[in-house]
Amino acid sequence: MSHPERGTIAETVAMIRRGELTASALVEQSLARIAALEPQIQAWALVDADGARQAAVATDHLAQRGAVLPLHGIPVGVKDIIDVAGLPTQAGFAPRAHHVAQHDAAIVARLRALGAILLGKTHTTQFAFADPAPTRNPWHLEHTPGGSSSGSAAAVAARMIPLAIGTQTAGSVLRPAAYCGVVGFKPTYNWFPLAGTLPLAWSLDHLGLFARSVRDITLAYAAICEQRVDATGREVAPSLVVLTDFLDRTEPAARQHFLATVDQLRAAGAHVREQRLPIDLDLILDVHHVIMLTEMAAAHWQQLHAYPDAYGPRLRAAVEAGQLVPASLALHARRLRGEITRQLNDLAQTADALVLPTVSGPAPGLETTGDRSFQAVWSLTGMPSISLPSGLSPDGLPLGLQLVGQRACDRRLLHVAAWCEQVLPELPTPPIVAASLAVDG
Amino acid sequence: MTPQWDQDWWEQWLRENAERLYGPARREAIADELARMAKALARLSAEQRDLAALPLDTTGVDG
Repeated sequence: MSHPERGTIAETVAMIRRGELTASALVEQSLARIAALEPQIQAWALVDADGARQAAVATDHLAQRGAVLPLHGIPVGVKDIIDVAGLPTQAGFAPRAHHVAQHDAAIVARLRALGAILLGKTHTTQFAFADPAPTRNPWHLEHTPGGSSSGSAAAVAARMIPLAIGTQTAGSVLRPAAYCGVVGFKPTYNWFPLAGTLPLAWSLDHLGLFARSVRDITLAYAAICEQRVDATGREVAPSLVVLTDFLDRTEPAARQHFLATVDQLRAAGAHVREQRLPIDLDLILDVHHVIMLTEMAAAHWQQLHAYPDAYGPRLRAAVEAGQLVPASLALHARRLRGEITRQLNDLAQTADALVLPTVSGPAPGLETTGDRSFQAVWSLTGMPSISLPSGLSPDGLPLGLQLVGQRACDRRLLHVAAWCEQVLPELPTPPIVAASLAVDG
Repeated sequence: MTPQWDQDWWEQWLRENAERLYGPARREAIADELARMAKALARLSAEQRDLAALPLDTTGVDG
């Protein structure tokens, strides 16, 4: 039996093209992985096994007629704030348990058109904020997978699916990607329509992708955008700017790991210089905080009034605090964002990528989804950012390297990420996942 | 924006308005979030950038 959970998406689609694999077989393999590990990891709000099997049969018929699509037969999970026609969009909120979507979200319709198989809805923190989802970290079940796209990251890390969709308003793609040891990519703001996706803070909300490698991310991104992107990476070593402000806030072991990772890149030929941000990091994070909470208040206050007890404590507190912000300061924050974005984008133009740790340390316990401050800056500015697994902490939890590019230069960032990925050591498989795969043979 | 609008001033202002809108029990339940917001508002209030030089945000992050 083939093992596409160990290969790339491109290799898997090539096997389908050669008639060595079917979408139906891929779906069954994913369902088997879920059956084996879901009781421990709890990545899924809903698995649509019947729908996936039917879609796989139709997709196999296409292949038999010689029509093989870019994501042909690839099982995908989508975060449960994104509509899939015929399935509930629960968003971790009990009153929405029976809220069945009538239409696919734009990103879901696009994935289907590319031949992907929608396997189900992955767990999210409530409305993509900070009250933890039930999902566990595949590397250590007593640690958070991060959030808010908790299930998407964990499902990819557990080899249940090769590709998942999430969203990021502060750090909800890159942070779970780093904690779970997978690649997470948040392209430039507005890279793809958010239609059919529940808003948290609409001027900050980004769709994002999870996969096991930059190559897979690049293939999916290029297919979704209908762009040609070379997934093989640069031949010329990139120039990188290490943002030292974040190192002051990084836990000692993670800081040491990050500096060693940068040394590896430098040894491989990268041109590295260090620089401080041109604007106070605390001001940047406060601007993000004020914009996010005021937009959350605008999006949620009516529903909070109707269902106060159904809200998680963190989301409820944030909405209530956001309602109190004077409009003049909320608008002042938006004006400051313009200036922050201009200055940070100018800084990004001076190199191929900005570099910082994705997270301040390894995944903490289940009571939190972690610290968003290392990722939120790039949600505020709408600049593309990507997290690559860079190794394990002393206690065996993944850490991530974050690369940030100039706005609308997503392809260039992916090329830099592919170069870095070739230099960095590959992570092992999470122990409980490896044990499960061994049982499967 | 005036310099006396510091973190203590904002926290007091937020707490008073939270009590008026949500009652004393909720005000206490969200005290940490109010303190976090007071810190942010104080920093934004103290921001000394020339406002006239800042473009108006008319189209969101894409502007």
